[in-house]
Amino acid sequence: MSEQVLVIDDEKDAVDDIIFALQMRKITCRGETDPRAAIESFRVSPTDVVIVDYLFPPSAGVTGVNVIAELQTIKPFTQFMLISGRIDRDLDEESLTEELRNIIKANRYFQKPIDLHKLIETVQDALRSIESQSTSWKSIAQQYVSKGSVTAEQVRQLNERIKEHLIKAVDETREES
Amino acid sequence: MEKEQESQVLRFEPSAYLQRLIGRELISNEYIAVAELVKNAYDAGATEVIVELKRDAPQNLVVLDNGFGMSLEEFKRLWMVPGYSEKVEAGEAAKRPLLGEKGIGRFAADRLAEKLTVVTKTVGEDDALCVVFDWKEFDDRNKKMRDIPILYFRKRDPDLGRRNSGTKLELEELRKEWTRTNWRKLRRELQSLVTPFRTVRGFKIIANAEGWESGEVKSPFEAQEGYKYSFSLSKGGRITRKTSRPKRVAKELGKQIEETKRKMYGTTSFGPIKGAFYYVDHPRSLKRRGFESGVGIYRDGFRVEPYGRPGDDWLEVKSWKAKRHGHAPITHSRLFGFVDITRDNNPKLRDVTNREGLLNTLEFAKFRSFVLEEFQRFAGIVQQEKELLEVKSPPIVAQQAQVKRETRAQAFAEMASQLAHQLRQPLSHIRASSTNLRDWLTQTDALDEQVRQLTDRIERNVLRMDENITNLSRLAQGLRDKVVEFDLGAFVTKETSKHEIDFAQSGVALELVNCDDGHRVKFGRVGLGFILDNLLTNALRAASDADAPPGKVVVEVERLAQAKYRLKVTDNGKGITPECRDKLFEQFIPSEHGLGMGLVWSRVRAKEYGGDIGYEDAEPSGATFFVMFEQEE
Repeated sequence: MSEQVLVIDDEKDAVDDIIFALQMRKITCRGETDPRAAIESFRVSPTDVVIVDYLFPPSAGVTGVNVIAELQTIKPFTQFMLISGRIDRDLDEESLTEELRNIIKANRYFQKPIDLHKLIETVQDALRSIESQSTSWKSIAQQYVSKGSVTAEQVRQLNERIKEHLIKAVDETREES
Repeated sequence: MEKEQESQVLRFEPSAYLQRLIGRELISNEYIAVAELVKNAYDAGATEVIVELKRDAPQNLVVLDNGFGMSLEEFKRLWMVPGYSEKVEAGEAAKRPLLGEKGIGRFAADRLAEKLTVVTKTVGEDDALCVVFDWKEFDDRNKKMRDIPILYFRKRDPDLGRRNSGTKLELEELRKEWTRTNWRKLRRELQSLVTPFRTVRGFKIIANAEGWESGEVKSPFEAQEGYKYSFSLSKGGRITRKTSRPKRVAKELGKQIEETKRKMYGTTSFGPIKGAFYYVDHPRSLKRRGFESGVGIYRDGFRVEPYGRPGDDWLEVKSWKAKRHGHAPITHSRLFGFVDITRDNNPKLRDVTNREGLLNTLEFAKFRSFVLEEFQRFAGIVQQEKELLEVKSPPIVAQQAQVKRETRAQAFAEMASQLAHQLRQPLSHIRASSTNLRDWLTQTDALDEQVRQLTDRIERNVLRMDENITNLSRLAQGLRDKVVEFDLGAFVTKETSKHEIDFAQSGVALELVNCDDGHRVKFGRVGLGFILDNLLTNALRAASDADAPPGKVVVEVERLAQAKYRLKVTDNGKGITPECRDKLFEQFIPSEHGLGMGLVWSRVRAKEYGGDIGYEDAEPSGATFFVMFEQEE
């Protein structure tokens, strides 16, 4: 079974600190110090949550934002958390990219020295939300499976229901924002 | 009484080896050796000397002049007696002052080759006298000079016809193989042997080597765009000085040439002399043509070594600049010049034996001090005019200074930003490790009060350190902050909103007064953000500790007369003690909350933007800090 969280930071100590804290709370996780290797590892075994550093050595050729964009194409509904010792969010607001601004706005940005408790709390919230979504889908699937074999008509009906749910969710999100 | 014995006679018997000492070993390199032979040709009344390198293996070198030449008798008298020089007679005949005074220049040939054949002839003689020297024979220390036979014979020489006179030195078995680079260097050395600043009448140096650079080596110095300062000291002690300026300076200052005369220097043991300093704008083209920067001394048109050569600093131009940490007005690489002296008028300025410098006599010291004084006078003019021009063009200077400041600020900001990043990495690890330690101990029921307090202390100090890093980083970022016009009220409202949670958690009320729209100010937004953040943090701490709770902080935009604004942050804390009041913005006063850098940096920032920051006591208790904005309606 794949881990729940992937931690990517070029500082091994930083990766180890977060992994220790997650494992203490029985959250399965793994770490990577090379962002390129992390993308490949995610492709093979995607996780629900990714914690990624913003700044990597120039030789890596990517930033945390690039990594997030890449991972999103692999698994669209992954939850991301960005950490950095470089960006001062109060100061650099005007120079932030759209993606970064969105991450900060969604409270998924953690400035070093990070508050580990806040980070873990955010990870746990994200995992809970994924779990509840997964549970609701499971309950729908169970309704069909319990009725015996699934016919083509039942699959069509299920697709219609998913479509309705998605349209409703998109509308709600638009209204909220 | 003892009878006095009859006196007897002792005589020096120079060893043959002496020749090697005054020839091969005294002359430091082959270029100086050729130069010595050229000078001998000049002394022999030649109007032309040809140095020719025969490149066919084995290489030979020939120095041919069209001077008086020597008869056998003259050769015996002049050549064969080391240290003998017939200055007066030969000088008068040639109507020119002689360069050699030691009578040893001929031995320079030993520096160049093992074998020398001198072919010499006076006018009217049919055959030339040929004398062959094999310097190897002189290497034996046991032999006396006179023990070595020097063979001579007579022969017709196509280079020295019946009507001609002159001397030809044929150098064979050269001590060193000449390369093209050496040859070029020799030509440059020969070029620099004769003053490029004026014509040495009736003397030409030609250097030929088949297939390599050949022909006359003289290249006149062409004055470049720049300063020229010439001076002369007459026999009677009268000094004449003339300064001409580069066109751009002349145009700005409205004067191009200045001449002063009739200043008496007093009695001198040297002179007359004359000289000039050129301080050129673009020295590269001169250097390409083989001219070296530096001020040379030329005697009767010929260079006196090593003055003005690379490595020599007889006018202390380089050391003067070094002493002034690079701020002296004259840069050595742009300075060219000469000082001309004559042997007849300056008999006391004499060469050291190896022809590399003048004897360090009292006369030389006085001569040097005179030239040094002229040089410093010239440097003074350059400096003064440079300063005048800077005053005349303040906008350009101010602009340049501004660009310099901005570049420096940007570099500092980048450095601070990187430093902040580097410092936060380990800090983050310390904080996370401390949290993990505490959580682990809690989970295993091993957390006691002592460990809790210790981890709290780590956490607190990490945050304090981070705050200082943030301040430093923000300050540095602020340095590249541009002054812009913005609405003060809206800015304050936005900035204070970032502190609302902190105030709510501390139970301190935050009140905004007069922070509506319409108060336009010009200031750096990042800078003001830093100042306000600092003032609000301080005020919150002070108000949390108020004598009469609840704590309260008021932020007010106050409009003063003459369209000035004041942004006030007032707390109802205990206020500032009189001892601290005077030092608030001048020194870092560490407190339990930080290093006390905030206010000092705030004032620096405020002044950068043309404003200021100040303090006054609040009523009935507390402190008011304010930022002043210098605004025009």
